[in-house]
Amino acid sequence: MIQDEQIEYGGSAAAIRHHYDVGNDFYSAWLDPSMTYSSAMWDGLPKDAPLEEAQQRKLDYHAESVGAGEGMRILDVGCGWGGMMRNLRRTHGVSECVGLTLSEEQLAYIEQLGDPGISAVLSNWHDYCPDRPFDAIISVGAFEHFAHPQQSVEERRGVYREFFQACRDWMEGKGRLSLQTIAYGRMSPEDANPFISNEIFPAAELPTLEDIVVASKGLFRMERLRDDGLDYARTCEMWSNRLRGAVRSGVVDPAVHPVEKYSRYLRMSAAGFRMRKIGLLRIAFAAE
Amino acid sequence: MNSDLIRQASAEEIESWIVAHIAEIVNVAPAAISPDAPFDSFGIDSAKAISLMVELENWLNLPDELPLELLFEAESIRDAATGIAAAVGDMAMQQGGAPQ
Repeated sequence: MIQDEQIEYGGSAAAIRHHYDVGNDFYSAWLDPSMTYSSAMWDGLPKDAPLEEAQQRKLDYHAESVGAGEGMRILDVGCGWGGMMRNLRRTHGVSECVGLTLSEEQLAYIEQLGDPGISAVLSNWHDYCPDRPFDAIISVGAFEHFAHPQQSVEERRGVYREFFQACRDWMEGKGRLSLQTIAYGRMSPEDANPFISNEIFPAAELPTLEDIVVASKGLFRMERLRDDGLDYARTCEMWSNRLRGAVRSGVVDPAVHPVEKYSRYLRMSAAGFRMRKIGLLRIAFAAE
Repeated sequence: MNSDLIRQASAEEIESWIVAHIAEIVNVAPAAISPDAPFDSFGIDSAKAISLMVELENWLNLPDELPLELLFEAESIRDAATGIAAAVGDMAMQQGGAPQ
């Protein structure tokens, strides 16, 4: 477990590496082929649609939420392994995508994709200064890392507001932001499980819907809000099953990789979503 | 008995197992746990809920995980046990064992 010596704005780099630099090969063994490490979306799909299809649905949902199309320049805050950017280029004809990540392994992975329309920057959103404005911004599964458990509610909302302000500035006051984040539901921050908060996502704090409403007020207008927690429960359960399958087929070696820890974390997260302790917010914003 | 073989427990046996384990977690007598109540009405946190699920899977000797919705989305423990028994039967069929 890493020690938090100081609060870093916009997500602790050490904390991000702690979670995501376990190894690309480990994640590729149980994520879908697009390497999407966030909730899939089954809305509009058959109930038994496979994970790959539901991940594609999610990618398209966010692309549509920001009106992605030809000639656009789009920023992906917390771009992971670049699945969103690849889909924006391939399916929606977006001209240029820039992704922010704090993980060196993710940066290296994106660089070897070899798409001149896709680039990644190893930077915290707080320190990022684009040379040109963006037409739209997408952020999936990053907002969870922005605040720190030691911050007060006011401080957390202050950080979130800075993020919304930065997004608005990067789009010069016009354009759309599509946000996907886990949020507290019936559970309050004090009840967070120590295993998840210490071992899996150190130095991360979830927002509440209220935090987001307050922090975005006057900067963005909420156009659409969904809580798709059950989508995330299904996604986590599918990942857990795939991880088990990868162990059985010898692709993942439990002696090398933290199989037990991830399996427990994935199923506990699924239970948290099913019990509505946590939810999955998908919010389409328009700058105002 | 083959150690890889799934234990094809009945819905009633699974219900009793779940009731006994909930009772142990919340520290009451099994008789105080109504099988007509939903699982999430006992204030069990997600870590303990998953431990219970894993223990149940081990007891049933299942090769795959049980879908959590069988426990969490069921209207009662009794319904959950019925759903789990059916899922166990399906897994046993896939394993090639004849249903009891």
